[in-house]
Parts: sequence; structure tokens; C-alpha cells
Amino acid sequence: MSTAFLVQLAVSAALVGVMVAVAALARIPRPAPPLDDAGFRRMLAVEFPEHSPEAVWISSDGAVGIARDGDAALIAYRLGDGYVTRDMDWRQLATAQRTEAGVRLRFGGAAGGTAQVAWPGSAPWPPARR
Amino acid sequence: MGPDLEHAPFDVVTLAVPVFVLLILLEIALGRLGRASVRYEARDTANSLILGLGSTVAGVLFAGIVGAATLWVWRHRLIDLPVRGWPVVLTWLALFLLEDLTYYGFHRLSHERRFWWAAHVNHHSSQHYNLSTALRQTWTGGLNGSWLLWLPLTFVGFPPSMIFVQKGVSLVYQFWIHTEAVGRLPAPLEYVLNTPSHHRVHHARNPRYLDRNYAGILIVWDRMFGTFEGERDDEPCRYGIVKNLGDFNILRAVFHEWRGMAEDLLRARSAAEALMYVFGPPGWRPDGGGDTAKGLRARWEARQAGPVSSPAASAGPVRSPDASTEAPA
Repeated sequence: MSTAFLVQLAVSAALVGVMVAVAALARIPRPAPPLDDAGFRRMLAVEFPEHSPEAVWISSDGAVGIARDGDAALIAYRLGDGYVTRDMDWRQLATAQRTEAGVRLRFGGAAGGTAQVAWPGSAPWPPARR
Repeated sequence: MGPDLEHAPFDVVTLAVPVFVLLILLEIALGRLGRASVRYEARDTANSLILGLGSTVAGVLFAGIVGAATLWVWRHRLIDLPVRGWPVVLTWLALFLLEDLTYYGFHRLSHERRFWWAAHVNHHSSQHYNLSTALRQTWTGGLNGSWLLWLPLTFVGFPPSMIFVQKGVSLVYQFWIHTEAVGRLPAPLEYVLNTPSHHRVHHARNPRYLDRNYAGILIVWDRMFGTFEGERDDEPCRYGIVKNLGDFNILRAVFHEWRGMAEDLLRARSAAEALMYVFGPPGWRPDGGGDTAKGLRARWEARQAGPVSSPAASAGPVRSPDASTEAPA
């Protein structure tokens, strides 16, 4: 790599820093309010149109929604100014690691991801239907 | 002494970088001032721009082999196309059309076959659509040999320097269409050109919009080959990929589809399965239950044709973490 290219790369890296800083300072993310019942159900209808959730639960902070459809758990969790959805076996959800803050859901596969579910220690896990 | 046909006198993309920066800052300013529908998230922006920066390094690493192959083909070209005087205009015009058609083919291949999608997917893995998304370029494009698709142009007789310039022009053109700040252009332009509206559709993950609008500069190729879909006011674009990335890990953004392919290859039960995992459509599964674009669209069309009810949207009990409390539905 030539010196000219390295200089160009360094200048570009500095400009990247400037643009990211400006984007952060501008504070123009998408409006992504905490999940509620209606919002989560709308999301489920779009993301999992072939499922019929029997019940849904929302984490204390509204950052994670969990729905159950038979043996399937349908999950949406906040990432940045949007939400990411995943599905997993309900039994796998049941064995998720409990932490002080709630429950940590780790998603396998190449797309990865982790959802930190704000879930009171007194509340049952997995979420239970009455 | 005539023009140097083997080496371009300048790199259009490098020259355009200051313009890219200024337009991104302008787009952010318009969003901040509420003058345009523009959304930026800092970590997403960082990922997009770092991917762009990294792609220039990757491009340099592959430049040697690409350049050598191109020059070899050039020295075995079929004919000498006019490169001096007024006939050069005809050469440029032919190159413009054929390079754009080549781009259409490359882009379609990059979506419809996993081996090429693995390199292209990172351009689509942002859930945002703004000018920074345009710079979200591949690091692994040199690996899958997609650059070979441009060699026939050289073999026919288009000088490598002209092809290099035209590829740069195409890339620079495609920068400005990555925005929600521009609505629709006048109808004649929308009919002929790839526009922000058409390219929003291309970046959308709605089943209706999947694998549509592959154009580089001219949208007419999509109209000719049946891959055109217009943006609809009643169906806003949802950006990203079918299974969005779970975090902002830059290495995941670059390599996740390659990793997924490797994992699938390890579980393949036959050579035919292995071939489909690599060269089949993204999302292919041996049991037919995978989320390919074609399958997703077919299921969506079936739902549209059937009852309008949406199971997930129907009312049912919602519960707070404390299961003894039922939240208002």
C-alpha cells in the first residue's frame, strides 16, 4: 500500500469519526417507544404472520416482548432505535439464564444477538399462563 | 501519443468522497431541522461508514489479481473499439449501456445466489436507509469472483480505463439514491432511472419488495426482465434483511452469512445439499421450509388471497412480568 493510500485512509477514518459524532449529536433516531400490548401485537402480525400467539408478555422496561404460540417463543427486543425479532423453542426460553437484572436470552445462529429481559425476581420464569 | 487505455487517469469514487461527506452532513442537518424524513442512529452509522472504509482496504488487496486478469483479457481482446475523435462518444454510450446491464446481472446474482449474497448482504443489513447506508460496502466481494462478470466487456474491446471510470460513475450515481429525503422524481425520470423511490424498494424486506429493482443507473433493465416493483404509499418500506442482525458487531455484519454457510455445509447430508447451501437461493433449506425470497413472497401472496384476519394482531390477554397482573389489552 502506498503512502498516498495510507494518508487517504487516515483522512477518511477521521471523517468517519466526524460524521458519526454529528449523527450522534443530531439525535434523529427513529421513534421507537417502549413496547406495549398493541405495538407488540402489531409487530408480531408483521414479523410472524403465520403464528397465532396465545399470550404475550412485556418486560418491565418495555424493551422486550415475548409471545407464546404452542412450543414456539416469539421474541422482539430493542436494538438501537429499532427492534429485532427472533423465535426459539419455548423449552429453550424456559432454561434461559437468570441474572440480577432479569433474564438473559442468547440467540444462536450467525445473526446472533442477546436480549436482556427486565424481569422481576419475584415473577415466574418462563412466563406462565394463568 | 494516444490515451492510456490500460490505466484510468483518475478514480471517480475517490474524487467523489468529499461530496459523499458533505451530502451526509447535509442529510443529517435536514433531518435535524425537520426539513426531511431522515433518521440516523449513531452505532448504525458507525457500522455503515466503517464498512465503507474497510471495503477500500479490501479493494486494494484484491486489486492486483483483478488488474492482472483484466489486462490479460485486454491483450486478447476481440476488436479495437474507437477511442479517439467523435466515434469515442459511441464507445462511451455502448459502454454505459453494457456496463449497466452487467451491473444488473451482478446485482441480481448477488441477491439470488447465496455464494454472492454472502458478500453483498452487509450492504443490506442496516435497518436504516440513509446516505451512510450507501457506503456500507462489502469486504469480501473479491473472494467470490463477481469481478469476472466485467471481463467480457474487456474481451469485446472496451479499454480497462474506460470500464474503470464507468464503474466509478455507476457507484457514485448510486450513492445519492440511498435516501428517504427525496420522494418521487417526475414520472419520465422514474420510468427510466433508478431513483431513491425504486431503491428504497430494493432495500426493503417486505415480502412484496424482496429481490426487486436490481438496477444500477437504468431501471429499464428491471422493467425488461420482470424484476421491477414500484414503491407503494400504502406499504411503507421496512429496511434490513429477512433475519436482521442481533447486534452492532462489525465482524458479524461482514462475515455472518459466510459463517452461516459454513455451518450449513457441515450439516449437509449429500453433495447436492452442499451445493444448494452454497449456490442455492439465500434461506434455502432441504425440507423446503426455508425463508427464501420466493417462498416468503408465495406465502405472503397466499395470505393476501385468503382471509384477511391476522392471528397475531387479534386481541388476547397481555401479561406483565408479574403474572398475577393482567395489563390492559
